Amino acid sequence: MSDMCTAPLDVDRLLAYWLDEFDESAMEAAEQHLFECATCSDSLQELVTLATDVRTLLQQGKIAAVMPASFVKRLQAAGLKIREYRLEPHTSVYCTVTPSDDLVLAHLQAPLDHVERLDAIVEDTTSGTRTRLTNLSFNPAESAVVLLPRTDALRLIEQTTQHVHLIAVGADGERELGVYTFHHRTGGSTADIEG
Amino acid sequence: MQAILYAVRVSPPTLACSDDETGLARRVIDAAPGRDRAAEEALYRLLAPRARLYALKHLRDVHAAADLAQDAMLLMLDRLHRGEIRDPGHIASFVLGTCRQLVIDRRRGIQRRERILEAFAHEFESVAMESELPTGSDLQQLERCLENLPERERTVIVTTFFKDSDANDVAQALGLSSANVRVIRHRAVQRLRSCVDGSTTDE
Repeated sequence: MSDMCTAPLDVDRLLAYWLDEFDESAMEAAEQHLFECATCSDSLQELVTLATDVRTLLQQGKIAAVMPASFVKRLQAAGLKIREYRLEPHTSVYCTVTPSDDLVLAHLQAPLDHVERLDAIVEDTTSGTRTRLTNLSFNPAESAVVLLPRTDALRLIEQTTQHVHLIAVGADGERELGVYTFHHRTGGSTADIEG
Repeated sequence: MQAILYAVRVSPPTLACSDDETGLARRVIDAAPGRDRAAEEALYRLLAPRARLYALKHLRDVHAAADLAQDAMLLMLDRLHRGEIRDPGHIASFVLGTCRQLVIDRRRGIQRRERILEAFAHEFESVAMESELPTGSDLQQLERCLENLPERERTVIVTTFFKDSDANDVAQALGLSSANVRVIRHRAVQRLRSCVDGSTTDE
C-alpha cells in the first residue's frame, strides 16, 4: 500500500509542469515529487491522457471549435490535410469535404477592432435550426476568426446552405459584423467564391 | 516571470518513497545473486509509468519515451542486482536520476542499451507493452464533454493540448493575457475531468 501524499500537486501545478511553465528549480522539485508519489503521478497521467485524447479527437475531425488563425499552421505542420475557405463579410462560397480531407476550416474576415465580445449565429436552411455561439475567442490583430466544424458531421450532410452571422456584443448593444454563406455539398467541387 | 507563480518548492522530506517501492527494491537486493522475479516485475510496473511520463515530457515522443522508460527500468534492476543501490528507500530518486541522464544521453545520440538489454529485456517484454501511453477509455464521452464546454474554453483546451503549448503561447495566439488563459484552462480542465468521470455533463 502506497503512502498517502502529504503535499499533492494540484491540477494547475501539474499542468504548469507538463507545459514547461515552471522555472528550473520548481520543475526539478515537481519531478522529484512525481517520482516518489504514486498519487500525483497518477494524476499527471490522467491529464496527459486527456491531452492525448483531445489531440486524437481533433485529428479525427471530431471537435468543433473557433481557432486563432495562427493555429492553422500548427495543424498543417502536423501533417493534417486541411481544406480552407476564406470569406469577406457578406459573401458566399460553395464548399465541400472530400474523403481525403482531415479538417475543413472557414476564415471569416471581419473588423474586430474594439470588439468586446464576439458571438456567431449559425442558421441552417435545410434543418431550419438557428444556433447561437457565444463569447468566441478571437484575436483582434488577426482581423478574422477561423471556424472549425466537425468533419465527421460535415460528411453526413449531403447538401445544405448555412448562414453565419458574426455579432459584436458590447455595452451599447449588438452589431452585425458580417454574414457568411456556405453552400455545402459533400463530395462536390472545390470552392468558388461568388462574391 | 510567469513561472514564478508556480515556483513553490515541494518539500522532499515529506515524500519518503512508498513502502511498496522500498520493500520491492529490498527484495530484489536480498535475492541477489539469485532473482526475485515477482518483485522485479512489480517494481517495474510501479516505476515504469513514472519514467515514461518523465521521458514523454522531455522528449515529446511516445515511442522514444517508452524506450527510455524501459532502459531506465533495466538499468535500475541491473544496479539492484549488482548491489550498487545500497538504500532501497531511495529507489525512486535513483530512477529519476537515471531518467535525467538518459534524456541527456539521448540528446547527445549516445546508445548504451545493449548489454543490459541482453540480460533483462526479453523478460519484460509483456510488461513493457503494457507501459505504452494509456489512452482514454471513452473517447465518445470526451467528445460530448468537449461539446458542452463554453466556446472559449474549448478553444483554449484545443490550442493548449494539440502541441502542449504553454499559457504564454496560447495567450499570444488568442490575444489574451497569460493569466486569463490559465484561468480559462483551469476551469475547462476541471469541467472536462468532472464530465469524463460522469459526475456532470453540462458544466
